[in-house]
Amino acid sequence: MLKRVEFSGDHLDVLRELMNIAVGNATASIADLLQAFGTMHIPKIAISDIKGLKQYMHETIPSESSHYVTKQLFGGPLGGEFIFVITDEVAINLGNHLYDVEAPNDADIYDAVIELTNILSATMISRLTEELNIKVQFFLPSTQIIAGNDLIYLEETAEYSQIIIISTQMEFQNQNINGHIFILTKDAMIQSLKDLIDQKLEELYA
Amino acid sequence: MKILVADDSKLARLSLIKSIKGLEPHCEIIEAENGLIAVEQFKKNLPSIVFLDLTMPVMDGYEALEKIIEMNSKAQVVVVTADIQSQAQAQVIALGAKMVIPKPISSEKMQAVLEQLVF
Amino acid sequence: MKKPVDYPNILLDALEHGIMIVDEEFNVLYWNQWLEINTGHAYSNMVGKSLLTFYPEIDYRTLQRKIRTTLRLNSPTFYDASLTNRFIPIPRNKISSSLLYHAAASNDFSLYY
Repeated sequence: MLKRVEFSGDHLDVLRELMNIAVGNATASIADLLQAFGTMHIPKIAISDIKGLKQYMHETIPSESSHYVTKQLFGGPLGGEFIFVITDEVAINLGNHLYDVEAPNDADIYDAVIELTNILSATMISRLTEELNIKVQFFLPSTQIIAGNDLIYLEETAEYSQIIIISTQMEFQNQNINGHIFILTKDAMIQSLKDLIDQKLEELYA
Repeated sequence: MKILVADDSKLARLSLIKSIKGLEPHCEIIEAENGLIAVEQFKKNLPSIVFLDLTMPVMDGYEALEKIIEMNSKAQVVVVTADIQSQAQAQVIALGAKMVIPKPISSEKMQAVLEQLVF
Repeated sequence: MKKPVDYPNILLDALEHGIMIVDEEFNVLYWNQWLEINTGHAYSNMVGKSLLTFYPEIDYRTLQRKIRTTLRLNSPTFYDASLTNRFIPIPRNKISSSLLYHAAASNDFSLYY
């Protein structure tokens, strides 16, 4: 098992502030690109483990609906996973809004979900990494429909000892679109995030 | 010249202070980490400019802005926020903020802000 | 229309993927060898012309939104690659698994099949 990376109050403060900026940007991008005007919640940041992550998701995501869960990996000096979760009902609303059809077909819905995920991940992660003076690469997103709120499979995550959970919620009331966003990063990447934050702090104290 | 910088994030305060000091090295900076402290510091120090964040614990920026404007309707309050949507902007301008600028603020933008408010 | 990319392009043609570069008005600026072989349309036939002429069935409203997103965010955007949602028909046995866009240079837009 890897050594735990300790985050100080200052590290968390920096991450929180950078994520606030990232979320503000994502809201503006969605308004601009998808003509949907809404709000996003102030991101919550927690350092946890797999058990904690599962529990957190159970507390955040309702168990009674089916969900479109879209995952997109990003890698480079900072790597992690961006997860966007919406209920199937909201996915249809999203398909309606983006494809402008009464009854969007499955392909339209998948495509709309991927498109929104993409805009969210690109704006949020890019803003964060820009502030940390690095560039990351985005990988192909994939969407699964999952019944209930067991969104993390044990086999996917068995090797992770420490996870940073960044979570927020978006709401676009006019379109009845709302969803949960999780950004997960783990183990060695937590150390690189800490180093990048240290550099950022050094720059400011210089 | 006294400048009050109110933000719960230390990073945000440090960035603002660094950018202000780069342009106005001799000004005195007063820091506040929430809206309540900002209002108290405003009363005590009567700063020429207030940089105010919106989302802060104890008392948020909207309430702090109202209280500062109540004390001095001519107070020069610059709202610095990550919420760059026009709705939030219109709301704080209506409450009496002189301007709203998105985070993070570049030194060019800071220069423009200081020039407009100081001269 | 923007200037087409010179043909042949050793890099784009060496890839085992279909790559086209289009501008924001869907004018084709490059059509690589993979696409030439798999669609039956030659570069010389496609370049400088609108994708609309050859593929009127594409949802151009969506495509335009995706192009805008990519150019604005300087980040790739993706299409869902399910069977019913193929971007352009490729007559072959194996169905390619993914489709993605990426902003190349500043204003061109490349499409990867």
